Amino acid sequence: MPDIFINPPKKSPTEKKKVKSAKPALRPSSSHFFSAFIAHPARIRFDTQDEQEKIILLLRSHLITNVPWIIIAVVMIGASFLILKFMDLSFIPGNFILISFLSWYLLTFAFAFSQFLRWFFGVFIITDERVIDIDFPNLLYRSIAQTKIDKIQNVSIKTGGYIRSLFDYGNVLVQSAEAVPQIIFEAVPNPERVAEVLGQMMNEEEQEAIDGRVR
Amino acid sequence: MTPFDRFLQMMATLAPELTIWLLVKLLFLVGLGIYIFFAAIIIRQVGLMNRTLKGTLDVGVRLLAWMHFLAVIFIFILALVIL
Repeated sequence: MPDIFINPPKKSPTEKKKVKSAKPALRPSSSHFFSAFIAHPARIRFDTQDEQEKIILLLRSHLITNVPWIIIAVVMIGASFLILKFMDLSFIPGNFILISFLSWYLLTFAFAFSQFLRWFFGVFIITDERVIDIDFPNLLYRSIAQTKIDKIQNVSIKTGGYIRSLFDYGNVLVQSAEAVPQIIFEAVPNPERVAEVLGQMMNEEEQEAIDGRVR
Repeated sequence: MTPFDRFLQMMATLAPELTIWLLVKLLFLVGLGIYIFFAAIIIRQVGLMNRTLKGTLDVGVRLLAWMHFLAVIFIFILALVIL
């Protein structure tokens, strides 16, 4: 008589261990302050992090994305020297010229500083529980979007163009079934690796759900 | 006589020492005054950013924000004195 139902064989402890070891093999990277791809950062914590929650990956936009604002800042500084050299400012009293230039350098610094802060603190964090996008669109606003790993439905990457191909960076799109339907990791380095890590973590969460393990 | 001419005439009677450079000085002071407010917001925002992501460049960026704020105040006072 054919069997209608056969109990699945119980997993041996070694098999369970195998599932655990399916964690993404990301070695802790030496994280200098301006890294854009930091695996297992040792000293970094974020605002809403739980006690047991561990950061797997901390990402920023690729360092090369800072080049446009650096060029603008250099042009702003250079413009002041060009004005001094080539324009006749004799009709303006000297003290007015001094204050104008000091104010201009101050503005240049504020511009560069705000752009740097925006890049430095605008991070994408992958923890063992969730994915978080912290963004500072400008100095006055902060937006934080997050989704749990087990709610992620799809991870895709988008790269292309000369610069992106040359420096190996691109967007990682994380689609989820939560209130925030999509989180975009913009211009992150090594997008394939990021997608791979997320994929592995999704598989692990799925396996945990099947096994009934609760973290 | 247009209203603007009347305004200029009134200003010339009320403040004969008013020159174009005095107006420019006023504009500078107003601009720098607004800028001081902006610099204070930067300090506050840097604090918020540091709280959001701890263990990075906390001291460095806070120091830069304060230096920027103090520089604005210095230039404001300088403008007040030398213009």
